Amino acid sequence: MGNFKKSQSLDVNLKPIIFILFLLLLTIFSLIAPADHDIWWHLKTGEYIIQTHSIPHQDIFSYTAESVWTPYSWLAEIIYYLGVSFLGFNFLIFLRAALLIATFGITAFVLYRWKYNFVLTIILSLLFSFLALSLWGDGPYLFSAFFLTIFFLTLLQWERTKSKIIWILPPLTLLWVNIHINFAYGLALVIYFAVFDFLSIVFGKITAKKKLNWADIRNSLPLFVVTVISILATFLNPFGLRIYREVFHMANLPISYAVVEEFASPDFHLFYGKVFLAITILAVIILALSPKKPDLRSMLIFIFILVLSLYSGRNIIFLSVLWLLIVTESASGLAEELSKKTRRANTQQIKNNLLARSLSIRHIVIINFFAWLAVVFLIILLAYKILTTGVLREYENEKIFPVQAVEYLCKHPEIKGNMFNDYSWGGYIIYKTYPERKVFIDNRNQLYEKSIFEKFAGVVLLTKDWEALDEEYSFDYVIINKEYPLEEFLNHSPKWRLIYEDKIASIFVKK
Amino acid sequence: MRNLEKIFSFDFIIFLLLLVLISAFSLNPVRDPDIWYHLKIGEYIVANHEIPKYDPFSYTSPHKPWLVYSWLFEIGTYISYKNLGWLGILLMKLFILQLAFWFLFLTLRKQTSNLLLAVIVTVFAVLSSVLAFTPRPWIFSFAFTSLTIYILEDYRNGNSSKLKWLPLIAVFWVNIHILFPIIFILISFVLVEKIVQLYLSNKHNKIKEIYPLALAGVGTVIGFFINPYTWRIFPLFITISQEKWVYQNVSEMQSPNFHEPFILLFGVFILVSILSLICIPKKLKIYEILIFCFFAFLSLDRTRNIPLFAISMSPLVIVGMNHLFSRINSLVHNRNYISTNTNKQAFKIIPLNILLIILLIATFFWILVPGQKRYNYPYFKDLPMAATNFLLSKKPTGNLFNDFDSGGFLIFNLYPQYKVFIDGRTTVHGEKVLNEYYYIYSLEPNWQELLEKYEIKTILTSPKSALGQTLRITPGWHLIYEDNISVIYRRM
Repeated sequence: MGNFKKSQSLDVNLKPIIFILFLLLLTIFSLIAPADHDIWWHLKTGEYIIQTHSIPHQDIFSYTAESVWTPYSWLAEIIYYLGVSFLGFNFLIFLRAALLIATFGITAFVLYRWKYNFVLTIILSLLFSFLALSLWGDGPYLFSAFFLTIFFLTLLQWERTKSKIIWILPPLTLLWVNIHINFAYGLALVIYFAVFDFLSIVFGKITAKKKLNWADIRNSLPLFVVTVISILATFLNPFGLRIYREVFHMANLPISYAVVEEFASPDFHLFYGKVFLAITILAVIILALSPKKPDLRSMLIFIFILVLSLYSGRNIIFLSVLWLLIVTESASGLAEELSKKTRRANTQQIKNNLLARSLSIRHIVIINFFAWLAVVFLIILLAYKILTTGVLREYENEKIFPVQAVEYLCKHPEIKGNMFNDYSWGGYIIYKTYPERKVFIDNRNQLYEKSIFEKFAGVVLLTKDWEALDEEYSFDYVIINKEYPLEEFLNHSPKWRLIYEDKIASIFVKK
Repeated sequence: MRNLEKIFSFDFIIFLLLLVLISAFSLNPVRDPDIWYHLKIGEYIVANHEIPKYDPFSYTSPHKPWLVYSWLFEIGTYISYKNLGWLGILLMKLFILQLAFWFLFLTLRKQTSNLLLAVIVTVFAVLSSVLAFTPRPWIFSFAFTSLTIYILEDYRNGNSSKLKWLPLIAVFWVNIHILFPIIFILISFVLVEKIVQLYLSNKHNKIKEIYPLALAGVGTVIGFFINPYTWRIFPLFITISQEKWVYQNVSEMQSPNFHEPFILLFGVFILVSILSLICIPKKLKIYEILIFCFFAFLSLDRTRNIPLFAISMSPLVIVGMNHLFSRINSLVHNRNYISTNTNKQAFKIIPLNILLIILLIATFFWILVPGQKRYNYPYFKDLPMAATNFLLSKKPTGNLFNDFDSGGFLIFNLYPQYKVFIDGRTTVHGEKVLNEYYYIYSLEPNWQELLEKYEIKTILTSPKSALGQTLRITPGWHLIYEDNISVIYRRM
């Protein structure tokens, strides 16, 4: 039939184009992501490691942190530092883009190979990448999102074909544990699959009233072995067992949720929250209507990552990669059912529609033309964005970071002693002024005691006694965001003198 | 004997259980900052026999037309307060909440033969909603939503006799709380479901089946116009939903914080609702999907809407749990490990029922009638009572600047001698004044210019606030009053 031939031709001509368009859109999306406050201390840590050939075990950047420091992202920090040293800050932009494209591009490709509905795969990949993008900053957690995708794809492929690809998981775990603390998610996923497999076998035997024997387990043996090796691989890091202390410590940082937006529950009034809500509703509708429901294992993953994301908005990135795989399968099932119903209804119509058959070739040509035109247009747009300053944006954004104020401090070494600084500027100040200066606080949430966060959050809003904190730490100078009430208070205080101010920052010294 | 069974029945026991549970969470000290201006508005309307057209209580928005959309609630609250004091307000709250969750239970009872499950889900809905158990107009929205769902579920099961009450509910709702459009939205959802069902089953000739519902919908819309402002109430609904300052600064208007214990219950409710929606075998889930989308959006947008989600999704949760139990039973070779039918024989033992009832009634009165200090008075510890008395005695002239949270209390105690800068009536003040309040309170760069702009001579604030601490060292202001709760500064 003419129209069926048409769809085959489209199949041959358009899918690569659509895929290219998809990758181009991803690239353009990723070049507009927001700046990350953490990147600065990551860079400085990488610099320290390269220069001293050692990984610090005690904090070197602040004078208030008392606990042992575990720079678990040491490998990522080396990558960042070397990349920025050779290629400038553009390296970070391209790394971010590369990770986004790799994460969602590989997923889309694999889903296509698994013969899910191609158009739906692309649309959902775009939607979920857009969701991830709203939180896609610069930190090593981007590596975690990428690795989590690979882990989930690998495990699902294993379930389908018992493929040997599963043996890549232990070396990837080894890499991941030295890059970011969220290796725990990957490991948990592997253990989950293994346990689920085992319980399924056992439960199957119980309900069938048969004994468990070696042959039943043999098929899943590679998975069990990979799990054990992966667990052992996590100990191959500079901190050994201590890495797990950090995992539990990070999971139980109550103050982070109150102070750090990304650790708090999602704010559904902000852009990323609205996107998250819309996609959650879409996902639920697809799963509700589709005849192809996720199996119990996938359903539990679906629910569990939603729980984590509602608890801490930072997990939405991981939700986007996991849900893409689960939802696409159901969406394909739904599309298949709808197209069966439509095809049944239209078959007679198609057989008689000679006019439609003769138009199909022209349609193919027109659609191809416009598709390639779109590709060329997006390439031009991308090149334009890359070449203009809008994309190669200054990392040292003066609207976000106290660029001029820190420069002032660098030019005035006589301003010394104990600094009180804004939490979100701590990383930038470390990058610019270490080793000459040490900060009061910065974004390394796992490092500081809860009391330091509480004191900081309290004094800048003047809900806690500034004088008492000053007495405790004997501050010599303050670099503070003008948004905080503390700034105005210091302006009127007889004990402090304003020596510098610009649009976002003020510096005070003690009289 | 049958009459005894009716009186000391399972239903009555559950009714009392709900009463005890709701009492435990709602008969607590009144800490809501807004109750004060609600009382004052009620007093104003009763005394003047008219609803104010312009705001008489603040000097920052004197000429702006004011739509007092909760006027009926304010009259009711004031009359309760006038006759029974704070106990009157607490009893009113208890009555409305009991109504809301009792009708929820009745709805759930019809969805399942497992009565224990119906009780559990109802209790869970109560626990998810406790943060909103304050004497505010929104508790009426909970009750009206519950009633509407009860009537609509009846209709979906084939009984349209109760639809005639919907327009009446709409009339009360539009004069009590701004969330009145919910009733029309719920009716629309059921209407959409019915139309699609008829269309897909090719039963176009049975379109007359939806006439009663359509008529109820029309009656509801007509009912919306029966308010002092007629059509002008509708734009207000849209304005309120877009107030940026409110959701940035008012905690109940913010997205839920899933680190708080009661909000975690809401989180569980969301998850169970999602699972139920995905797993129930019904093919066409239009109504269920629409309900979920709408109330999920409302409740994740604003914490105060969580009870609406709990009430609206409970019927779906019940169906989902029923389905889950059936699946579990069939998985283990059709053995009924989980009972889907409550054995009601136990509840026919009259002496046991009487014992339970006595216990519940006793518990209720133990909660309701303790020492007056515990429940009957607002939480004066946090209120600027002494500072207010100081102002009334010393009468400093000129405009007064106050904190947002104390605005209602100051209106109640100081009007007409003083007008406030700000209070909880955000629709009256608008974004501009709210932002200006924030700039002054948070010491933004232009805060002193704003004090000049409004010719503010006196400032009443908390000694722990940034403003309270900074004024202490700001030239041109001197401290004229101080206690643990308030400080008052006077411009020199």
